[in-house]
Amino acid sequence: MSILRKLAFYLVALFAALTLNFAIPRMLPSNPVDVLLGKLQAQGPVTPETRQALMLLFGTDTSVPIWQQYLDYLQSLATGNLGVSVTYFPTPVTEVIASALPWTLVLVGLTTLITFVIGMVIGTIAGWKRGTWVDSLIPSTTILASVPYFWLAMVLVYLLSVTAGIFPLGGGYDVRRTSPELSFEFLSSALYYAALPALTIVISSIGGWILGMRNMMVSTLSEDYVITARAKGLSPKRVMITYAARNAALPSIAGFAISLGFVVGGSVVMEQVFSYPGIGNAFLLAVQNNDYALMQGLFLVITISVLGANLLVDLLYQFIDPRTRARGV
Amino acid sequence: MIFSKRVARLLGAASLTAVLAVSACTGSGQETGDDDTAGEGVILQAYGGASGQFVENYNPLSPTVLEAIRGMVYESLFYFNPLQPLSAKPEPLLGESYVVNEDGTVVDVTIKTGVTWSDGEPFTAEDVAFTYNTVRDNPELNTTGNGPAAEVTGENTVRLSFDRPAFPDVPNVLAVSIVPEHIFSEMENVVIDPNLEPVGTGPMVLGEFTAQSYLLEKNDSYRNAEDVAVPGVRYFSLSGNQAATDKLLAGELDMAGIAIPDVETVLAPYEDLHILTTTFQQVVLTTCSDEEMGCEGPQTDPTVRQAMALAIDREQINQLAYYGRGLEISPTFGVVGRDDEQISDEFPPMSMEPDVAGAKELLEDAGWELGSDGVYAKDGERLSFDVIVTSGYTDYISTLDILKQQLAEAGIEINPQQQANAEILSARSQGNFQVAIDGIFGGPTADLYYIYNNNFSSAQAAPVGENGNPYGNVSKFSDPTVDAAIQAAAATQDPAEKVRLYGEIQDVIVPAMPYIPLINNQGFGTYSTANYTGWPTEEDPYVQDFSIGLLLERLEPVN
Repeated sequence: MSILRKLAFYLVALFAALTLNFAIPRMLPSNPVDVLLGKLQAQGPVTPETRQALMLLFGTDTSVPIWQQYLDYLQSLATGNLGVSVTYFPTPVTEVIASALPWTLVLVGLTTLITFVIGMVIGTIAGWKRGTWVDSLIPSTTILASVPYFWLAMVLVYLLSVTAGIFPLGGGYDVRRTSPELSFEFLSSALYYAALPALTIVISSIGGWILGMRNMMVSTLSEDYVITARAKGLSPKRVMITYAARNAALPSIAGFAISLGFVVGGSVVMEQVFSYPGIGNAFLLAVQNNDYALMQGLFLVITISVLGANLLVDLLYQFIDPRTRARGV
Repeated sequence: MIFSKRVARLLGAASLTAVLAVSACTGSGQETGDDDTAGEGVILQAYGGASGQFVENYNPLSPTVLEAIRGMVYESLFYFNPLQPLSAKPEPLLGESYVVNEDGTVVDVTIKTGVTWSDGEPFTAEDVAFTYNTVRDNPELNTTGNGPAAEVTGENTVRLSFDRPAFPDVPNVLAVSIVPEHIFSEMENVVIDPNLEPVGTGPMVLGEFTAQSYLLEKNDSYRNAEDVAVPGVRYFSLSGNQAATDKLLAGELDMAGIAIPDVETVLAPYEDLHILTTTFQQVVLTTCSDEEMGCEGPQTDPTVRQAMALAIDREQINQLAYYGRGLEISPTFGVVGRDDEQISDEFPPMSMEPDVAGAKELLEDAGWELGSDGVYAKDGERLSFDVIVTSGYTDYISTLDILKQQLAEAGIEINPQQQANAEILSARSQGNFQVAIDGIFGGPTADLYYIYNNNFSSAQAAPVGENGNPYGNVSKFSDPTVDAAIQAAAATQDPAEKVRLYGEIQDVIVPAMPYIPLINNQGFGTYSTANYTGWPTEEDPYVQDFSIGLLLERLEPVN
């Protein structure tokens, strides 16, 4: 029963998101045709009639009433047809997303996981040994987390890429030496190019995980069952991991699952600083070019992944933490 | 830390091996590759301004086709070069000659014989007719709005019939890339088909493609293949102007279209790098000029516009915002020098020196009074308005900063407002602005018709609030004499008659001045003589665009 109710709630949320998804791009000033017209004019002479031809080409015919556009939009979503991107004309939106998504998923997904694991371990130890030197890590990581990300990233690019030359300036892989394929050369190049962006994400976001876990550890350690466990004479390691950390980790796990949902949305700022060919970059280009179809496609993927992650947490949580189960079930 | 130093070093070594492997490949490729005499040079490295990822689109009829596919892979009948004066003849490519009838409604084209497509099929008059009929039948492709119907009239002749006189459309129409009927007729939807296996007649064929670069390779079946010494051209996508400039200065680009500020100083230490003026961007203040079309503000008064034009110190703008590379600008918008025959003798170029006293006198004669705040006012309305500019367009922004100070001396206040590109486009389209800073660009030939038709014809203007062309007549200027003269100029090919009509137009638009002329900024292409010589020069600008196949016939490898 409660599962059905949850599913119904998520369906309503999805529908609302889809409608906003339709409305928001259309509130932007201007239209894709005029943006492209400006680019064409920068390349050479453009006849005044070109505008009409482009309007027909991109289907931005303003004479179609808005409700008709909305119905067409819902219908094409149902059939999985996300339309043709104007930025990458004539490539279908699904192809643009499919080529950008892996970059973001792998880089942001893996770094989120790494950050979470390291953060949890440090947080556990810091909470267990509170007041020792480990605890002093917390203020320093919190300061790093509060520094604006783009600034931190640019300082690291300056120090490590420009000055020291350890890492490349930006991009997804070395375009001159290799191309996307399943080869050692490509994968090692991609890994090398991902190293600095990954490092900046870890540095800037680890503070939150450490702080959250450490504080939960401290409060869990004062629980009666932990004192009981100690009184029973269990080994400190067992008390720390099985008794304290397991319970203290619950809120962090929920937070982690939700942040996984946001992985798909990528990091617009990170991808801009590093010219990384992921979703965030595609998003910015879509907005700059008034590319409605691409914006809608990206919104859709992000909405579904965030809602999906939330639903998963909701459902899983009942099994992880019996206390959250509704009474009577 | 994710990576230890050792891992980083390992990765560095891995990419180093990749470098060696690739360079070894190119080495052997050059030895065993082109066996004919012309294949002596190296691959030409080119940048055309692309950033982000390339997307495969080799359909020359599509507006988003990849750079140089039109021009190097596909060819048009003729090449019209806007750098040549109006009297110059177009360069025949697939065409041999053409004749336009008295009314300008029929063009008879004779095509070259013995040309083949890169897949071996012969190029015929049917291909030409098919191309034009396809453009006409698909309004999405009909960018002139006056696409002709085509019929084959003989073995090598095609007749193009227009619905209305087409003298000004001829250069655009004859510049359409001709496509092979045997391939394009098979396409389900020619409008969106990316034409993944391009088959053209030009000097290059498609080599390889990645999202960051693509390679065009020499077409050995090209009719003048023995003149082409360039084995291939590689186009790059780079992250922006700075990255492109760095690459150019590092000697990694042979030709590039990059807007480099103060280019002469930047390139001075590099003796291989040169520039060629390719476009004229006539920088103007576009005013929303016509009250009847719904414009509001003091700039709707021609006296105010004339006073502003007088008060501007163009030399200062040229030095500070355009590094002294700007040219004198004519209030007729003909390029001084090239278009002198089309410019009425009555209108000399705008003075580079300001005449503040003259500007003040003009305003005071019209009833404006200098207020205590140093700004003129009339009937309670201050002589003050907003000027919109796209944020990030640094030359425009610094021009406005200088203008603000210059105009303040003449009692005129302007407030520069930076906005995002989309907002600017929307404001220009709808007429929701007072003054904007812009460039006026020429057409496919040096004919002033294109500038007048696009920027001064009332057919290209929409009333304020309606969704008009943001690159059309944004000033909303409208005048029956000008409209009639533009129409008459479209229906004649007699140069003397055109000049007479342009004189009529200039007699109206110069005093009205809906666009206040600032400076004529020269756009340029950059090329390197390190690997090739024979580039177009100021004396012999045989191509305006580096992506035209003719360029490849003229380049000679160094050594």
